[in-house]
Amino acid sequence: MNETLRQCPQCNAPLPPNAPQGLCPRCLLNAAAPPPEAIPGDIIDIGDAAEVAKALPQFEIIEMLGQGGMGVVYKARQIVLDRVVALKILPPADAFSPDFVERFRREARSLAKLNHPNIVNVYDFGETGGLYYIIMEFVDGANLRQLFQTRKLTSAEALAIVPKICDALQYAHEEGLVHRDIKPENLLIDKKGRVKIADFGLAKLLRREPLDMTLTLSGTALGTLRYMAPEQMDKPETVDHRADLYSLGVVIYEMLTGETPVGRYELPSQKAQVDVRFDEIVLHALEREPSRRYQHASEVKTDVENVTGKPSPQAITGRASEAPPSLQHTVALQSTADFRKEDAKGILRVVMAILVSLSAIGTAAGVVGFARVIVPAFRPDTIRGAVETLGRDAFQFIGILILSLMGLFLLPKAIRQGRDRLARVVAFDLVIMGAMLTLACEKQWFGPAVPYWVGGLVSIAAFACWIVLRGKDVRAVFTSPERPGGFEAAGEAGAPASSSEVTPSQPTRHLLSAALVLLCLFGFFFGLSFQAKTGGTAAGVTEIITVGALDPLFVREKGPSGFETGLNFFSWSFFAVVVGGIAFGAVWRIGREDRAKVPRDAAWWRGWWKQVGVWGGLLLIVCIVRTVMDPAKVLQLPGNRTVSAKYNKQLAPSIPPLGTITNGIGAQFTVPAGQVAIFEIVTRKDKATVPVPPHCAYVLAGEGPIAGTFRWSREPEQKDGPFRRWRIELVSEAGTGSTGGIALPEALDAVVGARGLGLGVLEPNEENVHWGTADVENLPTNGLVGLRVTTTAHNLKTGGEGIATTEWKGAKTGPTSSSGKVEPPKQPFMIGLAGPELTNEAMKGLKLSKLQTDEINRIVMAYHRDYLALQRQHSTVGKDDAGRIVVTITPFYDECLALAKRLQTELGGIVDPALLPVVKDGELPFQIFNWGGAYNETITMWKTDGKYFVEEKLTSSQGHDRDPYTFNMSGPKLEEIPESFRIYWREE
Amino acid sequence: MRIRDDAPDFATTRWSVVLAAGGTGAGGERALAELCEGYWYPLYAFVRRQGNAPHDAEDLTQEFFARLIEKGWLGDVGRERGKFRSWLLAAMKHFLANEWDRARALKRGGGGVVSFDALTAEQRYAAEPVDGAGAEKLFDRSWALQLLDRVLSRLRAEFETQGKARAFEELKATILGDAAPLAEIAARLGTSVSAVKAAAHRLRHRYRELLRAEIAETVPLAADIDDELAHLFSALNE
Repeated sequence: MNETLRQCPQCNAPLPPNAPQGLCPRCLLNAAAPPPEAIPGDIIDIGDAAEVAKALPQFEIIEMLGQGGMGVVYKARQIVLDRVVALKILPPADAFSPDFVERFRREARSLAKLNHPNIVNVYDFGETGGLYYIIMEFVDGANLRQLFQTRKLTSAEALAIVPKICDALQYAHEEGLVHRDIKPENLLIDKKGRVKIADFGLAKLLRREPLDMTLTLSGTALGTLRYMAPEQMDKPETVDHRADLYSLGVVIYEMLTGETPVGRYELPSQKAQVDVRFDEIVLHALEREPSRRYQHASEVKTDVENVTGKPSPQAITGRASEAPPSLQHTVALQSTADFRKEDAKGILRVVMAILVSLSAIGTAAGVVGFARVIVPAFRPDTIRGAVETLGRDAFQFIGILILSLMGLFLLPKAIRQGRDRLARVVAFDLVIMGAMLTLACEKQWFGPAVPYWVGGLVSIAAFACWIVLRGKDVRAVFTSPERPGGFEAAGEAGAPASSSEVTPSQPTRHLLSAALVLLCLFGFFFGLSFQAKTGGTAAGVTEIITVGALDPLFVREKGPSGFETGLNFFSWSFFAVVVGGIAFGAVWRIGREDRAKVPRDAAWWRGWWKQVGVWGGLLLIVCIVRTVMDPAKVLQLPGNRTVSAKYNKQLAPSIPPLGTITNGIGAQFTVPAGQVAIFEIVTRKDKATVPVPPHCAYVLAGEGPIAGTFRWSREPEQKDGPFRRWRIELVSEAGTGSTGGIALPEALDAVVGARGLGLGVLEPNEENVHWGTADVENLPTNGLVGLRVTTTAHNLKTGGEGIATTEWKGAKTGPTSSSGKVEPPKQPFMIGLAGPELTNEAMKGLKLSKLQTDEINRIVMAYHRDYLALQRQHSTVGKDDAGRIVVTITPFYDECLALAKRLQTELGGIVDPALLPVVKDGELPFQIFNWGGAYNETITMWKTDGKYFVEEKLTSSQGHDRDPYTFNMSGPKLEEIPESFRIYWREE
Repeated sequence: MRIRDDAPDFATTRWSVVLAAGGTGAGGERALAELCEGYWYPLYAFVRRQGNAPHDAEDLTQEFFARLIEKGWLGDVGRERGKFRSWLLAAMKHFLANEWDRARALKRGGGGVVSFDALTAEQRYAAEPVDGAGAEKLFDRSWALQLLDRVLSRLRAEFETQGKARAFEELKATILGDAAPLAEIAARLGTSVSAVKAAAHRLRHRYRELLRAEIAETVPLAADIDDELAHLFSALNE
């Protein structure tokens, strides 16, 4: 050691004189720090079943059974021999020891020497691809530790096990092997009640090799402290087979009392209800001095058997014995559980197959069904045909179509991968299916009877399937032939690891997936009730998925028969669930990490931020789409008010300009005394707001002002087939009133959240006025309408009478008139509606689907429009001598006929032509508003004494005369006459 | 292969046994005695550096060990879970401060549970560099060197049982790092450079294993090993 100073070749520092082995101490310590480089060759993590399976192709790895300092144990199938074995793989680090190979061989050989029914059999050992392994018998059962966790054993059961262990130990000791690690984890009991000792891995050959003192410190455990004989700790070089007997004594004690003997321990009979003779056995086994202990395992067995007074049958070596009933019961319980598991797995297979098939069918149906809708909607004459025809529905359809396609593509991939991904995809598919069903029900594709809640049921199925499939290994369920449930707990680990355990980060992802499914449930149920009560558009998942996320935010159902502007609980619950789910995941994770005192897991948190980004992105997209669809509505642009102001410039200043109420919901207004408020449906055409004739309602205020909320409500009974009956209600402090029911075709459903249209424009002094089709060109074509309220004065005074006069002059009957009194409203206000119903008698009897009806209405409206255009073409406006305006309309019967035939052709494409009335010459089967262009029509209008009169004469060129009739109107202000009529009237 | 850090089962490392034995001392005496036998020299150096003459140092150390084991000072151990090294030093300081009574008759020579050779101790101490390091620093440094010595001795012994003592002599330099001249070693051993490389690899791994195992004997938790390594490294750098 006293060497002259030298330099360390590595760090060039001078070597101190007391340098260990002449090596530089600093460098030596340094060399301990860095991780060792990998030996060139395969990198295999023996804890990873997949890698092990690759390295050992002669085995099929089934699952990991345990892990510990002595390596990893897998349940595997030896392919060539087609048997299930326990495969113990040693830690590769051991391979670096200079004597490792020898030790390994020694261990394997010593194990192979043992051939006893109560010792786990060693079949073979080997090395492949750098991995050293031992092939052992697979024991299908539990270890004693696991039995302990169930309950303590009765002495009868202890009696059954111990002799077997003694047999095995005696045999091994005679072969010269000491186990050195007897403990409950190493004592296995299989389903038939057989006891087997496992893990003779530390056995030493007593008579052959010098004892290895370094075994203590070489990194391999010498067994759990509690079970170790004192000499194992103090004087390991003197350890012999009697150490096993000590450990056995500890195990017996634990079997009987549930605890290990520590320090000055109580005798078993004091701690538990056991025979006192066990005390003697335990004391004798637990002697500190080996020489005072039992000297042979057979002695222990004899004493144990004597406790019962009779030896157990089939005692000596060899045969498996029957476990006593209670122990068998325990084992049998496990078997029953396994059997139930077997059953459950079969059911699981069926359920999974059904769910997967359903989701595939559902998404395929989505693609087909919606393509069917969208493709015809694209008319060749207009690119925007789909949007125009379907309106906002187009977006819903397209959205669901896209999602269905996604689902279809994801499904086969997920089936291949199995497990959680499949669960999520199937749940996703089923949710889409539910959305489609809801939309289809809403559109009444299956007829009016199919209820909305079908979609809700599907959502529940989605949630259930996610729960069922979650965490299951699909392949394992469908392909594994072995009985489930068996396991062996070899090695130091007490409980076997399950291969289908989720990794720590997955529960949070599952949480978010659950949130997604739950929100869909919310969406269906709340949207459901929303729709059922209000009859509004589908506020369920379809809206959320496609368009309209913002609208429903501000719509709330309130009260039994109406709704008003406010919060939409459904949409807000959606947002709350998403945000809540994400927040909960974060809080949960933080708590977990803090409790475990570990630093933040960067990978998990990245995943969390990704989720936040995904949801935020989705919401942003929905908002953008919605805003693009209808910027004015979403952004509440003041332009709307400007538009209505143009129409309402004659309003008395005391009335606040009500403007265009975009959805008619919760419209609040005040009608001053002596005025009438007229509610018109208006639509947007060419960026202008124009009324949709002839639908309106009126509210007439009497003595005092009327302030109230205007509501649409749907009558509970739906008559007239595909039409709906609607009512307009006024709710105010002064009372509630409503119009009568009006049946309206759904083609005119255009108001967001409401279907209901008024009719006509009221003449204040008359209750009803038929205007006819003031301007059919303004029929809604894009489905976006609103409600406009205007007010005007009426002349009804308190206590007075108003005369509504209709004069009718017939050629044969002479002038007649009918007049009705319009009394001032008895209640503070009067509400009513006027105008013909847009029905067609011929169509009433037909049972048409929703789609058909919509299409018919569209065709009819087009016909209407065309008809009026024809009328215009054939009309001239002039003046007669008296200065009255005369509008002369020449017949255009042929064109009308052609139109009617065209109408019939188009309708025939939808309706069975046999159901349509025949278009006969001279007759027009479809009488919508007028006489079909078959007459010479003269409309004369004049004004006398402030009253307006209109006379209409019709003479037929075909010989069908209709008596001309005259009707007058009095009192309207010019501005209140719709513009279309004004073309027939020019005020001088 | 991914090398698993072969952490020993801490239920059975000596210091853990001592800690687990706690106040009762049962089973722990032997472990403690073994530990002390391994690391007595740093204590001796410490006592000497404190200013005690060789004879006194010898007596003190012996007495300390005797009291340590026989008087059940283990009772103090169980409550704290520090490292053996720091605990030992603290106990020695405590002993020096309070327990030692010069006037008492001291045991001399044998009979002590921990035996060390006083002559060798003094020889070693004399070999310490004169650098004015304090007693504690000397203690730590000696500890580090003692540790390394033990580990290398074990490593050497492993090779010797296989009859490869000479190989060890040649290969030991490769533990330090890449600076060892592999070609020369190969020539001297009469094998190929690649064989030397592979053997060097294995040696380094085994050395690391043994070093960590040795440290593990004196610390309570696996996490403490690296900490102790760092501490010893800084001790050597002073």
